[in-house]
Amino acid sequence: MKLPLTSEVLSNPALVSDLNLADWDVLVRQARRAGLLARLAETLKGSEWEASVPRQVRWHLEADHVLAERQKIAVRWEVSQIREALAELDAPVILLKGAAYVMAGLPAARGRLFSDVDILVPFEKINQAEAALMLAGWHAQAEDAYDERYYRQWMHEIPPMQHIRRGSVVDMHHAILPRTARYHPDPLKLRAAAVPVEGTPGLFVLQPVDMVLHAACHLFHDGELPHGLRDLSDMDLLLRHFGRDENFWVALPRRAAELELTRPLFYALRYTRHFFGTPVPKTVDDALQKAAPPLLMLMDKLFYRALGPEHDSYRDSFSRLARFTAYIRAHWLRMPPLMLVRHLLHKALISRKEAPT
Amino acid sequence: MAKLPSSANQRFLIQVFNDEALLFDRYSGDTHFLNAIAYARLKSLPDIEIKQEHAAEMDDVEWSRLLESVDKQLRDWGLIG
Amino acid sequence: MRLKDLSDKALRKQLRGEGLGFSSGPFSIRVRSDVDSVAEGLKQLYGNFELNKTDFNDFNVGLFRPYGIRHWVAPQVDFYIDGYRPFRPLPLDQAYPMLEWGLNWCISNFANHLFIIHAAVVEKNGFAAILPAPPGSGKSTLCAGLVLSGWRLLSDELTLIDPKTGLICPLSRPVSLKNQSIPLIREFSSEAFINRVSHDTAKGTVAHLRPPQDSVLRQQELARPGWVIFPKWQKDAEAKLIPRSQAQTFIYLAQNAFNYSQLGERAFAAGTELIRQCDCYDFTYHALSDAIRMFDTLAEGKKGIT
Repeated sequence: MKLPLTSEVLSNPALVSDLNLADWDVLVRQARRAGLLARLAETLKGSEWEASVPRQVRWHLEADHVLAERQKIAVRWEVSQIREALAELDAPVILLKGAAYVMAGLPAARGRLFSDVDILVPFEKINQAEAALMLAGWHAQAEDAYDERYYRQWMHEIPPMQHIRRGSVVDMHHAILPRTARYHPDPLKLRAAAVPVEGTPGLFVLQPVDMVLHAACHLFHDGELPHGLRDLSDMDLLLRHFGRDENFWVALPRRAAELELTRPLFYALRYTRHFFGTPVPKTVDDALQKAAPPLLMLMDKLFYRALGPEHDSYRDSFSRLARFTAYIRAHWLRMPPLMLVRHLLHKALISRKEAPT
Repeated sequence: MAKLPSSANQRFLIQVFNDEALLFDRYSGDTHFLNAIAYARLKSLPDIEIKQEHAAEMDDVEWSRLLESVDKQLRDWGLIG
Repeated sequence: MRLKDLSDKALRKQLRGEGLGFSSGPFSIRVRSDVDSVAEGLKQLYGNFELNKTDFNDFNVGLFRPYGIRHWVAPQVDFYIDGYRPFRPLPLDQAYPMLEWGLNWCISNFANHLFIIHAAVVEKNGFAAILPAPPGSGKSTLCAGLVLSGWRLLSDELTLIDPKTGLICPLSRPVSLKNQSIPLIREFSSEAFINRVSHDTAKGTVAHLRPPQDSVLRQQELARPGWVIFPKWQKDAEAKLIPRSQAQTFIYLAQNAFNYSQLGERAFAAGTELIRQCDCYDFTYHALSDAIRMFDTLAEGKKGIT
């Protein structure tokens, strides 16, 4: 099965010198739909292949690069606000996924577009944390009463919380997988091994092997299809970065066994290798052989399918003009305000995934 | 409450238009407009001068209330200490 | 080769096949469609546009009739960009306006290398007048009137500012008109060509004005900002320009920009730089001809400035 052009180019940027305009036409579209255009832009920026990008293509890369850069700043700000809100919690706040990559300065933050900030707090502190966030302007965002009950009573989770003015979303967890998931990695073990973020007391990220295992869980949890090429790309970048230390490869399968996550790790390594050529030592393959699923051929077929593009929905809103001073609050980076879109378009054209106002 | 470390030069960009000003907060991405009074206050001009220039007709009680609300706003935005 | 050089048959064939390619300012657009009114609209309104056959297009758009019952019963049309449909379908009658709306959406959504404000923009004597306005303020009517009176059309909806140069990029595409504007503009100038009306139940009737040939031919010519003018049509009002504060105008522009928040510091720099070069006004008027006279006077004022 042919690999998507996007993953081929990301894992081997030199390929861009062989691309013609028709190839670029495909690449830009595919990468954008997969949420990887900004990453492609940053991979090429300042590289020896930057000059190979045709003149007409350049703005596409630049435009998404601009968005990603701006979003990094926005994520840092959100994290600082969350930290401030949870200052009295007296428990470590662990950042997960994209926000963790940014704050820890990891290559996986490169060219990434964000939607929510995910955090992990101790189970016994979750109600206090929710109250603290509410005080600071975040409110639980369940769609309706049924949804709310689903989150709280059935899933033992708090619905994602949205900031009333900025529109940013915090997704607070006490475990890295929902209760209903097949795997239950022990959050206590994860928290015990968490690593502080340099320069920001009170903030932590998962240790490298746990970060990888967490990403693997989300990619392959419960045998569902992966969330997208973007998540696989993140995994590839994490593995290449942490994998420079050979101790990482020793610890990884061991920790996977300890947390009972060998199956997701098996998939993760298999598919990042397939799509991105991630270098994985043979010792790790050997260690994980027993974790191969019974219907590997079938699973391969499923996962090798063209990966669906990501399509975040965006929202924006504006503040009022105050009497003596005016204030435009920067908004969590979402699509053009619905109001303006309406002016451009017939109302009936509003996006299929129209955000509720 | 802990705030992000800020040195005014690093954090805020300022553009002045006549006696009004626009500020961009590089940390939060917020943008602020300051009218003549608020900008004069930011520059720490003596309030008697500001009143004379921009609110000569206002009575003193109203003026001090106005100053208070302007100051509060500037503080909230991290523009003054 | 220009679009008007294509025979009707050839035009339709291309639309149904590999697509029809043309440039609009900085963008290369490829349109595919199986809808007659789209072919007709393009033929009537894009005649002066230069065709291109590039392998890389900035926007690959399509307007197609859906399969299934909606092909026949209360027929609809879908807008495609890069192979997917971001919107719900519209009644087939609105296919041509949907192309225009869809293109505007694509530009405002993707072109984040530019600072994009929701405003009409026209140019004379080397300076651009930016006309932001909420709908119903008569911005499009005024824009149409100006471009039929010697002002160059850059855009009726999207003001595109290049942060690197501070200059404004034209699109030169047809001007959208609604309801009473349609007969008003027809009457205003015999040069005005307006295509068939689409009946739009929410906003009323919609049609598009062919852009002046000169504007289309000069679509690669960037413009320097000169004025920001907020037009407001008011019954029996005398044409009047009232100066407004640059800083306050900036705030309005930022609030009505598509990507102010997304561009952050870059937009702050580009926007303040823009406003520094502009005279800002509120403008009330009743008679279109009075408005144009007023604008011409402004343009005279900047004539000869380099």
